[in-house]
Amino acid sequence: MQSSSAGNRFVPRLLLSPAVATLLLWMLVPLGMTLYFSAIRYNLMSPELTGFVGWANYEFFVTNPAFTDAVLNTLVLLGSTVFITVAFGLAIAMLINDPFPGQSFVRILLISPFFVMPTVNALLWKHMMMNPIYGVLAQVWTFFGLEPVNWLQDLPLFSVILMLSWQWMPFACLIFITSLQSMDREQLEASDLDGATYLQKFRYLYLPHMARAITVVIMIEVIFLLSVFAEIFTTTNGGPGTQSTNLAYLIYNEALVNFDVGSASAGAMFAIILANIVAFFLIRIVGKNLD
Amino acid sequence: MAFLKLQNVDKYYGKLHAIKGVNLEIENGEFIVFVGPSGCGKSTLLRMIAGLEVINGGELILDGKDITTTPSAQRDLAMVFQSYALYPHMTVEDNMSFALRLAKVDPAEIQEKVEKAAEKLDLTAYLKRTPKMLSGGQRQRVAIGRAIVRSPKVFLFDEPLSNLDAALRGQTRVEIAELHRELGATTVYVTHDQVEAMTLADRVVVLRDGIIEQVGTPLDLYDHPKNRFVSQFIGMPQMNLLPADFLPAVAEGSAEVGIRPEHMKAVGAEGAALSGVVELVESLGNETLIHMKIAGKHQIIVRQYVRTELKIGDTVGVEFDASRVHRFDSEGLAL
Repeated sequence: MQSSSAGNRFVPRLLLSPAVATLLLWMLVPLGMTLYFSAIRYNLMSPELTGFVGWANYEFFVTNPAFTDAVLNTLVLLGSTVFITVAFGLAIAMLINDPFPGQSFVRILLISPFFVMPTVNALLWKHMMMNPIYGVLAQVWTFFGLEPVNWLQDLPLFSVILMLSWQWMPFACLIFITSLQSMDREQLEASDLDGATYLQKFRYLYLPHMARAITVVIMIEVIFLLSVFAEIFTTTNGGPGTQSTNLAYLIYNEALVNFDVGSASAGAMFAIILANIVAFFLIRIVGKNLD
Repeated sequence: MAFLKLQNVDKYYGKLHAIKGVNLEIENGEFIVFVGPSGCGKSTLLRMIAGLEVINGGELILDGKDITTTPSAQRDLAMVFQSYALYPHMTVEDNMSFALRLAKVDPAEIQEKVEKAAEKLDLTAYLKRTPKMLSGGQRQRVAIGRAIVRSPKVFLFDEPLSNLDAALRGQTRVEIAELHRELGATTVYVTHDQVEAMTLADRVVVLRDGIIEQVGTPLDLYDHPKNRFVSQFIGMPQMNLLPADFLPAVAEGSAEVGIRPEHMKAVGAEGAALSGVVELVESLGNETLIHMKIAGKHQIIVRQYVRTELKIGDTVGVEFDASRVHRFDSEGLAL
């Protein structure tokens, strides 16, 4: 019996191992190479310089004047976009929850920005909406007799946040609409009889009911928004100066503008650490809703 | 002066006339049960009283005040829902005190009321738990407790026992009856279960297709159904109905004659008023139900409290108590 039960465990493990090994390699090889590159002198502009440099790449990356800005911008970008998408997503989901004529059409319209590719989204905003001369926003400003805002130059980080929010709000909205559909009607009626106002219902019934959906939205958005690149690359190129440079863009800058692979790899290691710090706090704050 | 009064109350769903001019007067402290088949409008009527459905016509008067268009919250009613509708993220205590907290009642008073209700319902040990951690019967009691703490003018129950298993249902039924005796509160109770209707009600309201068929005490409905529908709806097994031709002796000009199963007796075939062929014998221990067919097409059931030797296919005679016969005219109205 003993040997057969041990055998029973051995065969499934054997059969699982190719998949597990592939996944492990898929993760470990890039990680190992990045670690290795971050510890050697590896600059494509001067390939003759090689050799182990210890922490020098890290020191170089961290003491880069753009570094602090990049970290702050990453966090501001992340926080504001998550906050805006969740707040507006909730509001719109609640607004279109009760049946009205054309409800399904409105839902499709609401969700469609999510299907626009990030690059196209950025171009749309850059040229159609935010151009200070022929952009829609400039036209609106002019109509009211105001000086048009040069969005990408004067408010670069805010502009990127706006684009990302436009893109990610439909996602949040979609998840919230689905969650609202499972809201118990009799509970709402009971709260009617208990004398709850709309805001009290929102606070005591809708929000607790949607806590899990909100958690899921925050988690997924954080994963994707930590590494925003296309929108910045297409619109501001991280500028003016470093005003809209985030960590992902800074790493790109090191690797493919300055051709310093070693320093970029050190930056990538730092990005992993930052992601883990964010994940740690995130799970502390919202993870208890996911039990 | 009635406490709760429905005057010509109407409800339309688009073109569908769901409640057709219902008139009903409910006295203070009365326990009223709405019964009827599915889709008869009993739940709709209750929801209209609660203010969860708009009243399209007529008036609803509570304690001398017209509340036809008053929002639910200001009607001073409390309702127990079929699914209990407890707030899943709140503890039992918070569930029960929710309405009072919203009304900004003094916390000490809330505490006192909740504790009193919890004690009455045997929930004191569960006050800090969430509904998830409770059994079906306990959730049911929390739902009742939530209604009690508000001391409303009228309690509304919407099929509250239908989610409980049979044993618990019987027990909870007794508890609700006791609670009503203790509180003496006016209660409107919707059910499709006639046992609940018969045991709980002071008066039963039988509904069909948005119309009240009959209002009366449970035994009044059983002994004197006003029409064919009520006679068939109240009583299990149903009252036997036979065309008057079969029983000319007692027909007295009626179109149909009804006799309850327990007022019939199986006897020898010779000389009996009716005779039929046994189709099924159900022996329940305390009683025996004999299903038989008269003249090959009219099925009747005889209930007797002695065991029987009859077998399927036997021909038997039927005697009945002539004074307990119900007569209906061709419209189905009792004569």
